[in-house]
Amino acid sequence: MTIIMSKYISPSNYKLKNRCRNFALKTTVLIGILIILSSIFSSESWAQNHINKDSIQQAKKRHRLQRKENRQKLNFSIDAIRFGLEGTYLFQGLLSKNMADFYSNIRKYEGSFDVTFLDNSWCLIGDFGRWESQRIANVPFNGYQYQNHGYYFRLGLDYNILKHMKQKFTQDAIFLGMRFGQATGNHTIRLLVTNIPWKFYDIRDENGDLTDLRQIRYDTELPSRNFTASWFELVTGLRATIWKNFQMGYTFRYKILASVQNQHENLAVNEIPGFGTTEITAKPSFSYHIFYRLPLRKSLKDAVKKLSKKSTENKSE
Amino acid sequence: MLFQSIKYLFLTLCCLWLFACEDCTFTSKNSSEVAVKFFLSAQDTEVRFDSILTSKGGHIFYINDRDEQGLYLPETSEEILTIQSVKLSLNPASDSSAFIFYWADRKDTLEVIYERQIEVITPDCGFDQRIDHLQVIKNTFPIDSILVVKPHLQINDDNNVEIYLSE
Repeated sequence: MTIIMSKYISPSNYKLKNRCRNFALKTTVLIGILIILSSIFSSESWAQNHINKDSIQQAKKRHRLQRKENRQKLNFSIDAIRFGLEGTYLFQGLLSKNMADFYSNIRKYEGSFDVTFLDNSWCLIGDFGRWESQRIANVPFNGYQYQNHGYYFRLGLDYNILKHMKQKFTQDAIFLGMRFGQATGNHTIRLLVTNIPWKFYDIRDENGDLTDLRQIRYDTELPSRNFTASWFELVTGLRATIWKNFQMGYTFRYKILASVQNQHENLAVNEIPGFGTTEITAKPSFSYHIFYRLPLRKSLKDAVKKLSKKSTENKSE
Repeated sequence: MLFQSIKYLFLTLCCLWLFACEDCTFTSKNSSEVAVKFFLSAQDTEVRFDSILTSKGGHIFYINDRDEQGLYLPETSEEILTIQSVKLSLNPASDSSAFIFYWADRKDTLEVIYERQIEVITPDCGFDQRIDHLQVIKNTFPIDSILVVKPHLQINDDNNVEIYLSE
């Protein structure tokens, strides 16, 4: 830069030349300071970046460790399996006359199987049942005989809220959950109808007594038809140990009918196996269960303990 | 303690639910009778019928022999039946019904088809029959037009079929 300046300034003018030199010196010094300062700042920013990178890496490490810890905490394990039987219709018939009348012509068999996991906080459930019902109204003029039978299943998941309340109830549960139910059935109806203009009316003999009603009433049986139906349930209930591994429990259900397929063209589906009557498409329901709980986690722990004992014995020998 | 209280609350709710079951209440508005309304193009507003029969020979109504067993008489029956609308009971054994009308020295027929759907209510309530998609497939009336105004039959229907008679 000084060379360039000296070429530019005329040598005859010394003062001017000297000024130029000073200017050149000043500028070089200034540039030098600027370079030094910039280098200092750049090194500081690099250091800062370096520190940031380190902190990110540390945070990542911490996150990884936390995830590992969480995984260890979760420790996914199947705690127990339960086999149950439902006997609601037996109890309901005893408690209320209406219920007794309603359930007197119903045969319902239901079994359930469930798996509890994650320290008894979640439960995967499967129910399977058979339903047979018969409704007979033998009124003097218009009567009917309705028959319905079929199978159903429910699948669902429960969450045990008791897990958050008390730790000591390791086998019991108060739960909230959901179910999906599906049924397949078959139904038929026999009708006995009187209608005077269409000459389905009573005929009396000489003594004024009625002859056989079946002969004079319109008597028909609609052909049986298969149907399928599905529904959802919101459930809540209780499972409590009553003796050793035997448990008792009840479930409140709120059933919401989703669909009924293959409806008979002349006969509406009156009852759906597992769902009940179809008069109301969303309704509450209640069921009792008796379970046998087979703990799996405890037995596994015992097995591990036994094995460890054996190995220590072997080592000592 | 908390667990026990929740347990008893559930039991109480359960008992309440069981006793809360109500008796049968029959709320259906479905009807098995088709309301037919006649309109004359002239100033007369009423049609005079001698009798109306089903295709099986059973009487919907007629003037004489009121004491005959099994007779169905409408509430408005008089010595000379002058009616504007009549409720015709449909055949419970079939998806079609035919009726024969005797009036003004004429004999006319009206045939309708429909879809029946039976629904069981409860043993106390009996069954409910829904009749829908009513159609007139045959008639011999001297008509200007015939209309099915309400194909789903219900108890409070004033007219399901409107028949506009010509002169």
